[in-house]
Amino acid sequence: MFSFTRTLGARLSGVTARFASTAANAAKPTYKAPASVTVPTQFKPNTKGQGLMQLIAKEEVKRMGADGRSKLFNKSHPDCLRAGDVVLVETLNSMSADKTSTFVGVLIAMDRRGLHSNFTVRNVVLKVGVEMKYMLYSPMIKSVRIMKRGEGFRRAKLFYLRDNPGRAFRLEGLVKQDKAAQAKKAAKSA
Amino acid sequence: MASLLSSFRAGLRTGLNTECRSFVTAATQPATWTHKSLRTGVIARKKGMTAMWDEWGVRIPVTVLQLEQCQVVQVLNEETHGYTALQIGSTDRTPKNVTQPMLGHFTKAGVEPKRKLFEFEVTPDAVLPVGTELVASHFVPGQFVDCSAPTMGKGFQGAMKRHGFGGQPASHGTSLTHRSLGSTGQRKDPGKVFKGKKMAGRMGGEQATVQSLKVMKIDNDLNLLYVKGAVPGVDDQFIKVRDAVKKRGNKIAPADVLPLPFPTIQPEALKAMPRELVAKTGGSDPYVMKE
Repeated sequence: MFSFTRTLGARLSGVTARFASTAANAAKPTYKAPASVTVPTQFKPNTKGQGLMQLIAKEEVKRMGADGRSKLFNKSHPDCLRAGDVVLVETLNSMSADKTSTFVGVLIAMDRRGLHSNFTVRNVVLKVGVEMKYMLYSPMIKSVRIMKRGEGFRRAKLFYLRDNPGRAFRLEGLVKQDKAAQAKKAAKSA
Repeated sequence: MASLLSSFRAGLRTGLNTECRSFVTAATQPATWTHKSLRTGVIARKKGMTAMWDEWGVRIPVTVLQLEQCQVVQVLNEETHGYTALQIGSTDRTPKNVTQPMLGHFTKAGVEPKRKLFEFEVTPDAVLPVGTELVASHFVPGQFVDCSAPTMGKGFQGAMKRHGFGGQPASHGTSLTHRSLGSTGQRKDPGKVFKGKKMAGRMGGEQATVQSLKVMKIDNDLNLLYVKGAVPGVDDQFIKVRDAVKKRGNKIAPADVLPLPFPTIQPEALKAMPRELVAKTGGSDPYVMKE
């Protein structure tokens, strides 16, 4: 039986009425997701005042940024990242295991693109310049910690540090300091 | 005559404001899928592209396709037309902008006038009654689809862009002919340029089909299909979306979501579904080294 009954109002809003006109359904049938399908956090779509793509991008940012990582890119938040900060990025090696990789460096670029926001971290590792670009909302990023706030950087993009690093990449002392602090914290909490 | 026309249009408008009901044909039995069955496709509008992350943390580009008032407008059958097909219409249109012949066509079907009509050939067991609305859950997350649409127009283009020709060297004496065709044939025999010789000309704006795109996500409230990869055409283009022809039988979708809703999703099943369903990529973790 294929009897979709819809009111014009429901059709115009783009939402199909999922209730038959004969509202004699006692129990709402339940849906059990098969193994190859995941049910993500559900939101109620609000199409007022914004286009479809803006809406789904916002919802996805809310979903992927549920752990609060949006604050890293929010200028009005005190924990916002700024070009020139020394950050420590911890990434999962894979989703199946808990092992992580760490990268410390100077934040040289931040690109605000909604869900596709990303930032670039640069360091000199064993005399080799290394830049890592991270997608802010990637599930592989475990944490982003600011080790030191940048001072005296007057640009949004610090690409000039590739040619004129100065003393910007002398970060060994910082790393050691941070490691000691972390160990102390762990010992205190244990 | 004018009054007759106006009364006809007035009747049409009042008729269209009532609840849209689909007709149940006499031959409605619970249809079962066989390996020879072919279900209908849908018409969707390309809304844009975005990205999502799968369960392994891999970033996947997706195209967002929206089904806008996608309904069956006409059933073409073997006796009258010589083949079995469904004419599907997409996106309502105000009656004042529709020609009289088309208005009559839509009145006969009892649906609102549509902007676009396409036919989808089906097997007789997959026929749907006129007026049935096709929704995003006609497809299941994880299945493969083919998307057809006219490609983006590129205007008048040279042979290098249009056909991938190599051009001539940039230096070493080449004069004024770096991107040209080069030779177009032989000499006295055949003494002509063959028809269909690849040359510069208008590029794009032709029908193209991208095959076997995976449906990554389904949104039941907004009637969205997120397909992996790119789809031909510009934003707001009408795309024909069908089950992949190169994935027969059990290969069309993961085993636990089979069988596909046949002939289309049942209202009860649709009611039970949450708003969004995401397909898993499956397989093994790509970031783990295989021993």
